[in-house]
Amino acid sequence: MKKNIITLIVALSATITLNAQDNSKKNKIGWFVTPEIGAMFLEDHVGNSVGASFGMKVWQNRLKIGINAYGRSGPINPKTFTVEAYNGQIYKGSSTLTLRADYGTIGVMIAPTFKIKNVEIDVPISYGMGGGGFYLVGEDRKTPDGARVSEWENILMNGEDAASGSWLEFGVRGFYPTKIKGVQFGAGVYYSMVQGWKTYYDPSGEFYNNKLRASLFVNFGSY
Amino acid sequence: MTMKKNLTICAALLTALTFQKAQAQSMVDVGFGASTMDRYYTNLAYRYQVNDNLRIGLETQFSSPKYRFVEAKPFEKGYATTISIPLSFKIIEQDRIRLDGFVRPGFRFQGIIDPDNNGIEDSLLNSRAVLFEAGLLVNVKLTEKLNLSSGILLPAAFEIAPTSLFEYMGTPNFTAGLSYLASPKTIVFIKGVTGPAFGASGDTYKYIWSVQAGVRFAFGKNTTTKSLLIEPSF
Repeated sequence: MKKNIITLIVALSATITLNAQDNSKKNKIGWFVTPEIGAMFLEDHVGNSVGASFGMKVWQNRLKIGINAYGRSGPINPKTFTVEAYNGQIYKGSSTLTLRADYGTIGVMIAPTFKIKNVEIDVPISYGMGGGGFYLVGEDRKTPDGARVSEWENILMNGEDAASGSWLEFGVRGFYPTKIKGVQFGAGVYYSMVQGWKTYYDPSGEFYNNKLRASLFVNFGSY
Repeated sequence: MTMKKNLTICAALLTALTFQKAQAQSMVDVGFGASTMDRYYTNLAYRYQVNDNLRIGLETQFSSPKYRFVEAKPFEKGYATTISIPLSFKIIEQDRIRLDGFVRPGFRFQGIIDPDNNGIEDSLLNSRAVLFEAGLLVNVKLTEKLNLSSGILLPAAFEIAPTSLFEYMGTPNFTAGLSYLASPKTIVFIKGVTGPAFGASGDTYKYIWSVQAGVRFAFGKNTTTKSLLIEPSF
């Protein structure tokens, strides 16, 4: 048993080493990891988001292909929204619900990339899924009958407390070099759309649709 | 029962440490922190640097819960223990910057004290879950003694008892940390994880974070800049 485990570790280790050395020599395909914080310019407030894009660089670093995802979570967005419960229902003595909103996106990203002097510019285009909704907050999450809070949210918002839709976003980002090669700081602006996302609070589906977004980020990657 | 589990985990870690090969690089991390889930926690990890490209380990955490879930319902008073196998492997390295892949399968035991909430601590509702994390870790050698780590992490938890449900997943989370070679065999570190999450029809976490500070003790070979690479943990 011990022999098998050691053999497995050695084999895995050798494979990884050979791949890494091979990649290092050719360096035809690069990589990037870009964590970000963002601001979403919504109807009457600015939402805070955290996210990241990551993937590979091809065509001599002229094109990035990867995954882009970010989330506008309720706990980092104190803004609340009020709505009357479906069919005049009463929850903890009131028919008015106080809600927070959360939202997240994930999709594939392609980003043509070019340089102006030492500043790198890319044009990320992301397509995927956006999902989120509105939820009870604070003490309201402790349900009166001990049921899960999502069961109450479904009843009070007619099963439309959350939804998902198709997400499309495009933008432009600037990457400024640091003293360390492979590490850049940057900022970006984006135009974001989500189709088919409708909820009880926002039946028009416009809450996140056709909105601007901005981000600040650190980029790590090959060069 | 819990005490027995904890002692077994500690014994396993100590055994691993005792039988380490003197010529290999082995490390023991002791960390303390707080998170969305816990008022405070202690992490104890044994890590074995197989070579410059591969590191495997065994890590355990003992927590004082603050906001955890059983059956997608929150509890504040109870216990939580996890045991996991962190594994990181080099994907590519270029001068001062290095990209590693990271996976961490694990298992979590937790329970609620006084689940019927009658004020008498006469019962315990136990829960078990399978944990899995995958991520990309970036390490930047700032100096010969100081390392910056960052990256992205996708942590996930699946409760398997008393009920089966997808508890949460990070989407994705952002990691950051600093490690410093304080003496030839001692490294101090601080690290954190933060980001959005979802799960259990929205009943569990919507955002998670964790901050941890600790000390790494190196054994065997002399420490190298590779010894400064730190893994994210909740």
